[in-house]
Parts: sequence; structure tokens; C-alpha cells
Amino acid sequence: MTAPGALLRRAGARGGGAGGVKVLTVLGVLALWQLLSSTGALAADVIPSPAAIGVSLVGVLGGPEFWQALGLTLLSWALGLLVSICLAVPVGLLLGASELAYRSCRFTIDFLRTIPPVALVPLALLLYGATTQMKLVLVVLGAVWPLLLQSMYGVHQVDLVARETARSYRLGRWLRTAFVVLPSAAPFVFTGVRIAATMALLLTIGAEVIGGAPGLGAAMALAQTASDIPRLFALVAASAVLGVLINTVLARVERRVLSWHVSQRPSRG
Amino acid sequence: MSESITQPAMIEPTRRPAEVVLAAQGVSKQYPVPGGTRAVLDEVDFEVVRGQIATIVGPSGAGKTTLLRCMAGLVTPSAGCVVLDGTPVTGPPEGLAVVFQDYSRSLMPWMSVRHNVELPLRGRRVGKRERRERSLAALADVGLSGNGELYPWQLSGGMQQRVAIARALAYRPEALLMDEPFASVDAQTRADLEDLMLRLRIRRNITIVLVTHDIDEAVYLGDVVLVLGGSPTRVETRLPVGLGPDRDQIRTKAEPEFLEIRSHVLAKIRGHRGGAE
Amino acid sequence: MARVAATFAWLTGRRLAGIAVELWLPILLFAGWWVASSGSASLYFVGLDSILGALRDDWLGEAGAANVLPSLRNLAEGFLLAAFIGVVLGTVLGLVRPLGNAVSPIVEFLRSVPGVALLPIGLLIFGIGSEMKVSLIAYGSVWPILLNTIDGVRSVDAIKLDVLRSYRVPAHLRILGVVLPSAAPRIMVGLRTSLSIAITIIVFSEMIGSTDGIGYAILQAQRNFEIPQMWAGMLALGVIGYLLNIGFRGVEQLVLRRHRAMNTTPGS
Repeated sequence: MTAPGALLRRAGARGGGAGGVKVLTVLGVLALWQLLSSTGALAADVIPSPAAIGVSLVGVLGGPEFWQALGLTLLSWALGLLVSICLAVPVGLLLGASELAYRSCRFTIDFLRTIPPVALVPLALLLYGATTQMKLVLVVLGAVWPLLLQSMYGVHQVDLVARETARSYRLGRWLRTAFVVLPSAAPFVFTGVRIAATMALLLTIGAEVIGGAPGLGAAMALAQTASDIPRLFALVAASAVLGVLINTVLARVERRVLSWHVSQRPSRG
Repeated sequence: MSESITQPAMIEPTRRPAEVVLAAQGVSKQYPVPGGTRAVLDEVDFEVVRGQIATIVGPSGAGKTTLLRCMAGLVTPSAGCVVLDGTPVTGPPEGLAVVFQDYSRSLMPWMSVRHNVELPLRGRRVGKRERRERSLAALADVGLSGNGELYPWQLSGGMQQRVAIARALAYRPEALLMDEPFASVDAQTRADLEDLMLRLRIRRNITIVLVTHDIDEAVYLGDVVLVLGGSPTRVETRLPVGLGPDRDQIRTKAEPEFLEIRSHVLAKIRGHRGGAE
Repeated sequence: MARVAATFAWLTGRRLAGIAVELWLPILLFAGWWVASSGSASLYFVGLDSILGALRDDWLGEAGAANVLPSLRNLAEGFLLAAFIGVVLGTVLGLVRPLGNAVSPIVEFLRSVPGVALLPIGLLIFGIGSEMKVSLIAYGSVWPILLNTIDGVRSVDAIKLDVLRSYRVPAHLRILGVVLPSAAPRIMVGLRTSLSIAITIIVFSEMIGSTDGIGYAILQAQRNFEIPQMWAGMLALGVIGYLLNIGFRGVEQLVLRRHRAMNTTPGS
């Protein structure tokens, strides 16, 4: 399952001149935006001009509070993601291996994962207050589900012919798991990691915006109440860049680890 | 041309007495379906002699693959049994190696060709050095020397199937079972792979049971051709092929005996289809 | 006659066992929750019975409708808006490749904005009210639909397209008759993902700057220390989300039924 975004990027990157076109398009859109703002077609107190956002962004990046807030957000994100992976992936792999376990758990997991983790913010606030701990709990509660499901699914999807081959050569359990099951499931687990990473970021910032826990989201809420609109936009843009960076890094890692997989191979004509 | 079902083969009386490696004894297989059971195989009996290539041919859906899987121990027969070297088969036995039709799914894409060939040897606890020697020798035997460090998806279909064959060879089984192994490659590659099997048989004296739907292939490769048919499937005919071990795609296929056996098999299969309609 | 009976027994026997396997764990967990929480003196983890009571009082019937319907209405509006924009824009960007490629960095950037981060902006632009929620939902949900549509449209069997072009079938017929139906499964995947996102967005958009809705109700309960009501809200949300997902899956089955039949190879 390739991320459509990655597909977009790869397709776009294939053409040599396509990179130039993209830059031009971005510049063109920014210029149009600037024009609309300058002529007053876009009310400045609703959507500021790119220039105003740029200025604010420079100011924001220059101050220490931003980097502190960023650090706090990243910390909750990374820690929450790590804990989620360590919890959900082994459990998911084990559950997926047993047909009985898979079918027993399916309903429960299906139900629990449709509860938007945001709904747990009030509960988390009650239990932990507006703290980093609260963010962690929320992130883990939300991010385990895609990891769990993808891991279970990955084990379930091991190719039948591959399994039969392993069986026909009488490979023992350890060999089968290490050389057939786990590599087969790896692409799915990785997709789970990517989904969980995005969800973890969403939850961290969500906990900060709604719950008031310290971090980027809290800075955004502050900017909004202070009616510092360019700053608000600058912070939102920064969070988007953060999201893009995370996705890019993960895609890189995936390309390295899963270099053998169909999705990563150079396509043949 | 005798149509006996249970006589052990005596193709070349000048050789030493036949030694049965693999035998199917009254193998029957039924599957439960809504409303009862469906019988796929019914009392299949035959024997394969060491050093022999036995080809199994029959119309599509005749249960050829089911029979092969029973022999491989991947499926348990509903009745009867498969005997390997005197021991009944209950689950994949140590003395057999299987080459599947779908090579792209049978090879592990995350491992190099050499590691793929060595994988079953790990299961047998063969030491690292010997694993390497055996895999390199097997790869050389199938004509893939120097390709050990490539990945399966970097090879063509025919080469991938050679890797699967090398994997089976390195395993040193009593017998090699092949399930329509050349059905997924083009005609030219198929001819090359067929000749490869003949060469391997001479060089390594292996016993092969090969299931195919291609009548020409069955007669070209086989020392004995087992024609399956009927519903449920039985061994319709058992035809010894007296063409000798030294065969050639052009010469052999023009020989009268080849043509005769071929049309006999074709008639048997056709006759069956005619009867079923 | 005997065969009919045998078939029936086989089917229902199988069926019953199948259902039992899927349900024993949830039932056990539920019962366990009940037992574990019944004697609870904890402030936050109250007895399941009081939660279920609050559920009945506040979330079913009239009171429930007052909480749930506004949310559902906004959800539907936002989701349908996102679906429309996503499919149309996705088809255009997918088919006109140079355009799709040129715009891709912008799309990548815009979709990476965490939905929650848009809440302050949404409040700024639209203030409190349905408009804000619908817009937020539409913005957040459109990306999976857009990207999956692009993906689906681009992976239409090239051979089919060549056949159509060689018969000079006009573009709109090509798109409506072949491209979209081919891309349908992929689009469905996008819609399904978007549904979850839309549910998430409606909930948190109601937690700030709102006077009704599910999210509002849950947060209010927490602020007023009405703990059973809070839990009841979360439970209700889970059920609603689950039902929406099942409903969607039903729609998906219907839409893709022909697609599935088309794609199974005969006599394998």
C-alpha cells in the first residue's frame, strides 16, 4: 500500500524539468496570493498576505519560545510513537499469527479504533491535567490502533506460496518467522508506522490546542486569543512543515529498509 | 504399450533392478462442500523408480496439483497413503523438495538468490561453509553462476525458476516434485528448462515427478507418463517411454515412438473430455 | 431433502461458530468492565451501571437527538463537500498529469497541516458556528479522497484507455464510463479514511467554540465533573462512529458489487 502522496512525489520527480515547473507553480500561487492581499480582496485580518506571514515567521523562528514549544511537541510525538510501536507491533504480529486470535479480536479492535482519540482529551485532562504526560497518554491511545491493525494484517497477508514453500522444506518456527513472516509483514508494519506518525502529530498538537498542554499547539491557541493573525498562520505553516519533514524522513527510511519491495523497485517500462 | 496400472516399471532391463523411491497407494481425496463431499482423487496408485522422471499429465482441473500436494505431504489424503523410501508420508517429509509453478511467489524477494538457495539448508542445520558450497554448486548446475548476489526480481522468469530448481538441488532430496513448473514461462524458455532437467537427471541421477498439462513436455521428459482422468480422477493409463536418456528437442520430437506415445496420450485425454461432455 | 437439511446444518453450524468466535471477547471484556467497576469508589472510573444510566438519559431519545443530530448534520455536509471536491479535483489532477505534478508540492504541504491546527484559524475566519465546522471538516477530509482519486484515476488499465481512444470515444464518456468506475475501489478507500478524519474533526471542532454537538457535550460533562455523563458520551461516540463505518461499508459493498464481479477471473 503506497501512500498516494509518495506516489505523487515520485511521479513528479521522474521528469527532469518537472521540478522546475513545480517551483514555478508554487511561486505563481504565492504571487497571486500576495496580489489578492495587497489589493484588499483578501481581508488582512482574516487571511494575511504571504509577506506578513513571512515576516512573522522570521520573528517566530528567531525567538526561543518557538524552539522550546517545538521541542516539547516533538518530544511527546516521538516518545508516544515509540511507546505505541513497542506495544502494538509485537502484539499485532502475535495476534495476526493465530487465526483464532485474529477473529476474536477483530470486532473489539474495530470498535475501539473508531473512537476518535480526540474524544479522550477530556478524560486525559481529568486524569493528568494539561501536562506532557497527558499528551503521551493520548498519543499512545490513538496511535496503537493503526499499528496493531497493520501488523495483524501484515502477518495475515503472508503469501500463500511462500508459506507453502517454507512448509515443504520443513523450516522450523524460528526460521519461518525470521525469514518469511516478518519480512513479508514489514511493508504493512511500515505503513502502520507512517499512519501512526501522522496521527501522533495530530494528537500531540490537538492535546495542546484543546487541552492547553505546552507545545506548538498551545502557542497557536495563544496567538489566536491575542489576535496575532500572521503569527498564527506562521505557526500553522511551521506545523505543516514539521509534518512534511516527518513524512519525508519516514519515506526515506522505508525506501532503505524495504528496498526489495515491489513499491520501491524502479518500475520496468 | 501396456496399460497396466500397478506394474513397477522395467524400462531398461539392462540397468540394475528398479528401486521404488516414491509410491502412491490407493490415494483418495475428498473435500467437504455444501451438501456433502466432492471427490477429487480416487484410488490413485503408481510407483516411481529411482533415477526416473515420471510425468503426470491430464486435463485442467483433473486434480493433478492435488495429487502432487498429497505426495509432497502438504495435504493429507482422505484414504490411502504416500510412501517415500518405505516410510509413509505424514506431512512434508525430509526427503522431498517441491518446485512450485509460481516462482515469483515461491522465492523470497528480500533475500539474494544465494540466500534463497541456502534457506532450506539452514533448516537442516547445515554449516555455513557447506551451505555456501552447496548453493554455489547448485547455481552452477542450473547455469546461474555469478548471479548469486542478485535479487530474484532482478532476474527473468526462466532464471527465477532455475533458482527454485537450484534451491531444490542444494537440498539433496530423494525425489524432486515439480508442479507445472514451466507453465508460466514462454515457449523458448520452457524448452531450455526442459533440457536443463534432462541434463540434471543425467548429471545428478535425481528422481523427478513432474506434473504438467503440456502433453509434448510430458512425453519429452518422461521415462513413464501417467495419464490422469475421470471424475473423480484416477490413473487412466501408464505409458513407459522408451526413448532413452539422451534426448533432443528437434530430433526426439520427430521420432516415431515419440509421436505415437504423444497421440496415444492425446487420445486418452481427449477421449475423456469427450466422455465428460 | 436430506441434502437440504445437511446443507442447512453445515451453513448454520458454521455460521454460529463463526459469530461466537468474533463475539466472545467483546462480551467478556464488557462483563469484566462491569464487574471491575461496580464497586468502584474512584472519582474518575465510575461504575458501568451509572455510565449506562447516563447513556440512556442523555444520549438516547430526545436529549440524545439534541446532542447528536447537529453533529451528524455538519458531518454530512462537510464530508459530502469534501467528497465532491476531492473526486472532481482528483480526476482533473489525475488525468492532466502536468497539472497534477506541478501542483503536487502545494498539495503535499496543505495536507500536512494537522487538522487540529486549523481550529484556531477556522475560529478566526468563521467564528463560532456550523460554517466553521463544515469548512474544517471539508478541508481536513478532502486530502485522502483527493490523493486516492488521483491514484485510482492514474492506475486505470492503460489497455482499456487505448481501446477507447482507438474507437474515438469522447472524453466525458471515457471518464464517466471507464475511468471513474475503474478508480472506484481506490476512491472508496479514500472516502473511508476521510470518514474517520471527518469524525475526528467534528468532535474536536465542537470542543472549542461551540454550543452543541457531541464533542461539546463530552467536554461540558468533564468541566461540570459529571463523570458518568462524560463516559457515556465517549461510549455513544464510539457506537456512532462504529455504526457510521458499518453504514459506509454497506454503501461500499453496493457500489463495488459489479466491480468485484467484473474482476474475478472465471474458472481459476
